[in-house]
Amino acid sequence: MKSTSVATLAYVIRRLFQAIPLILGVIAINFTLIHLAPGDPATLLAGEFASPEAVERLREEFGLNDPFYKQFLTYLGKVATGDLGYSYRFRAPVLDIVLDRIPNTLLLLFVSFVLSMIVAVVLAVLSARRPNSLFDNVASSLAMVGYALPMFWLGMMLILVFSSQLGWLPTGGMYSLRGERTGLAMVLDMARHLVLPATAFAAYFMAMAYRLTRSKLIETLREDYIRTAHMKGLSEREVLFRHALRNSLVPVIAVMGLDLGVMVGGAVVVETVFTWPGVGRLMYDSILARDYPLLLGIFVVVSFGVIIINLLADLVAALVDPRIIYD
Amino acid sequence: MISRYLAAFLVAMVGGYAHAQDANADVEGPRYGGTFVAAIAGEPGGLNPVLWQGAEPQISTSPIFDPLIRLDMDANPTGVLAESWEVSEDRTTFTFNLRDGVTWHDGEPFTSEDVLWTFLGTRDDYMPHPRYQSTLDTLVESYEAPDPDTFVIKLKHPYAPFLTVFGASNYAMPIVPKHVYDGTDIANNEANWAPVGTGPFKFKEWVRGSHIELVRNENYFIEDQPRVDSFIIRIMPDETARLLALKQGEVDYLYYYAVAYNSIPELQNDPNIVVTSDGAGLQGLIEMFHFNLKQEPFDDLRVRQAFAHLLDRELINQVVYYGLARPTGSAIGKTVPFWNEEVLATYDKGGLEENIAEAERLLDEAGYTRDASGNRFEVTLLYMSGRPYAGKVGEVFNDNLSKVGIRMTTQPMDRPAFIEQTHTRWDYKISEQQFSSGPHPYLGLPRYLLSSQHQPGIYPANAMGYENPEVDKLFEESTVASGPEEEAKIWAEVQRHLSEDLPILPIVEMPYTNIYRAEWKDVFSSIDGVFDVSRTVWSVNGSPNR
Repeated sequence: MKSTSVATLAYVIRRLFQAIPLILGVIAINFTLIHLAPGDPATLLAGEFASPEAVERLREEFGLNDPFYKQFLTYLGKVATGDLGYSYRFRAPVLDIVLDRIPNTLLLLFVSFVLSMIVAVVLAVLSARRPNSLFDNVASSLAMVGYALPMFWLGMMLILVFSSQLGWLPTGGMYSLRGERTGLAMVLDMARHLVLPATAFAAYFMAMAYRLTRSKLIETLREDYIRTAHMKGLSEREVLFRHALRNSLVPVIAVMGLDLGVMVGGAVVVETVFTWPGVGRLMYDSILARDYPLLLGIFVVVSFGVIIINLLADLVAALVDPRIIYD
Repeated sequence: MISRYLAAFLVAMVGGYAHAQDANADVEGPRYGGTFVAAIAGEPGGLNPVLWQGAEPQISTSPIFDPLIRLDMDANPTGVLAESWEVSEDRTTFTFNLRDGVTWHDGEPFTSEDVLWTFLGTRDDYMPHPRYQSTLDTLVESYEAPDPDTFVIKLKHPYAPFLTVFGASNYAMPIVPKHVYDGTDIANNEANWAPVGTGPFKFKEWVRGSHIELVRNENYFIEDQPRVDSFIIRIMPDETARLLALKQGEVDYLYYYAVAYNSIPELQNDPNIVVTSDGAGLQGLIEMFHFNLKQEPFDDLRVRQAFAHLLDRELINQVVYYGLARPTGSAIGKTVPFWNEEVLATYDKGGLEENIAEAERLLDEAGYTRDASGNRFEVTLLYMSGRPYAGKVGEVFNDNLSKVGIRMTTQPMDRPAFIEQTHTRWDYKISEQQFSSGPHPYLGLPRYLLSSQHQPGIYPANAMGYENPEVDKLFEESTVASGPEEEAKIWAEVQRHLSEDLPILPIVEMPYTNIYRAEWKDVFSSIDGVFDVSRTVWSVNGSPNR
């Protein structure tokens, strides 16, 4: 047991060290891309009617007149000390702004993720038990549709049907602005506001998790050890859940972890459509505003988050299948 | 693009659902209480009303801060922090008598020191108001605060429209508290994000990415204002989402650039919604082509004339703007003083065929003859991607251009890239721009037509490279005109010159389609109050007493 936890710790530390060049790469590539994009943030910030002197003053203040390499090195130096810089537009520390938004996005992601995993696994088990049955065919077709639907379109359709036509749910936002915003009422209100964006988000992941789990489960159910388990006289339920499902979920968890990058892209779309005040929206706004430090800061924080969550996904997979750590 | 079509489709579907409410029209007002919700597309950078300008910051700060004067619905100056004012015989000295007993939201008394400190912020550059600085401040000799209730502005020379411009929403100086800002790092002062003003609403909270909430200032010094308990500004970047929220009653007000034109005809038939141009007076937003006069082919006047002959403004209005815009050949909008279309050179030979023939002749003469396959030249129209109608204007125009062998393609660019390409690098032949000509042509036109404004890196500016010493002189003379009659003559001359020189080719004056839910009354209290909608608004669902 002790050697297992030491090995796990060593594994985590190794993985974290591997993350350093990755984050450096993320910064270098994004820094270059952002600076190559046309458009001068100073002109934009100064707004209409600004005098050339005012624009120049802003360029000076934000170090935009320095040569590219110098701007890059200054930035790296700051990141190393945990300072992600200062947002041009909000005139506030980037880290504060991003951290302020992260809980909102995590809430949305978490609810969608849990929702999609539960539904996907239940449907996958039902499908895999009788492949090519009517149920399997319908569920698989629906998954195909869910996978193919653009999140943007699905979001709009959900608003149209459930808000505009039926009037059951709000069109967007995180909570109602008119009325009380405290206590249980607020939690329930927020839950109501979560339904549509979480569904729009979950559709894609549900479809993917379903398809992965189903095919892996069907494959596993044909393995010799499953036949052995059946011959031992175990109930179908025990075979399915204790033996087959557990082994099938390992690749699913790993793939879902890798797909977090896609989730960030999805967050930009869903949060914009549903006016959800999360990091995705912040990214969209900072691109439009050419707020370089904020945009870079979001990339750094998000890539760090993706690395951590991938690590967690691997650790969960390792719990399910301890061989992973020793490989 | 897709989202716009989708919006039209969605709104059309939802449309049949709206039911007429009880007869709102009969309710006697004003009534009190309730929350008025406006939606804006983007988040303001901050809520210091001097440092952050533009639709989104202004709609959020105008309820918190007061100017000395503002304009009423008929464009007459009316006092806010100034109770009254006197103008000297020689029309150069304006003495404002400030209201007594006004306090800041934090309880400190308001005095002329605050006013002086705010104006000097622009003059001495410690807290510059960009629009005021480049326009009115240049006309001012001195600012003085001789006693706590008096503030005096002395002009260098008489300037006829001074009070109108001084009170116009985009130029009026919102007064900020000296005791909060003086001696601090102004750009980074916390009050920029949690403002303290004298206005009808007090700042309550700003949840980034979601909303800004303001609550009624119970001690507001203007009687019977404000009527609602709170005013909320929601930040909603998606156009379709904004519109659906308005139809659902989650949002009450959208100002005109937050609404897609294709949804307007349907909204006009909705009894729950009011569509109006009220509040958008003195804007004079002109959609226009800019020619780069320093490059082929538009360095040749005949090519520009050929383009003018081929431009069918009425067709563009119908196809692109759903008939909501106003075709115009003038750079000045209709509600802006000294609009005059009678003096313009016209480029209509009576019919499309005649105009095509004239354009062919002009282009041949300019040396842009047709090649073996009938083509003369190709040109790319640059436009800002946030304005998809601009691309459609180009496509419609291209139909006529192609008849004389010119191929015009359209290319959208996002705002910063567009500004850099057209206004910093001057790397374009023809671009589509939209500038306001109000609240007075002196503020609207010289900034992009004066020859000295041909400078890279500022926007708007004379990116065309237009140089006409006579026009420069007329601009100069307009500031010292003896009165409205002489001003009218000067601006007529300017409009005539522009229509002959064609550095720009105006297309339409933009539609002003502010929309709000029908239960709200007195949304606008000023001719240009589109960003200042909270002062008098009340709901028919409110209570008859406070």
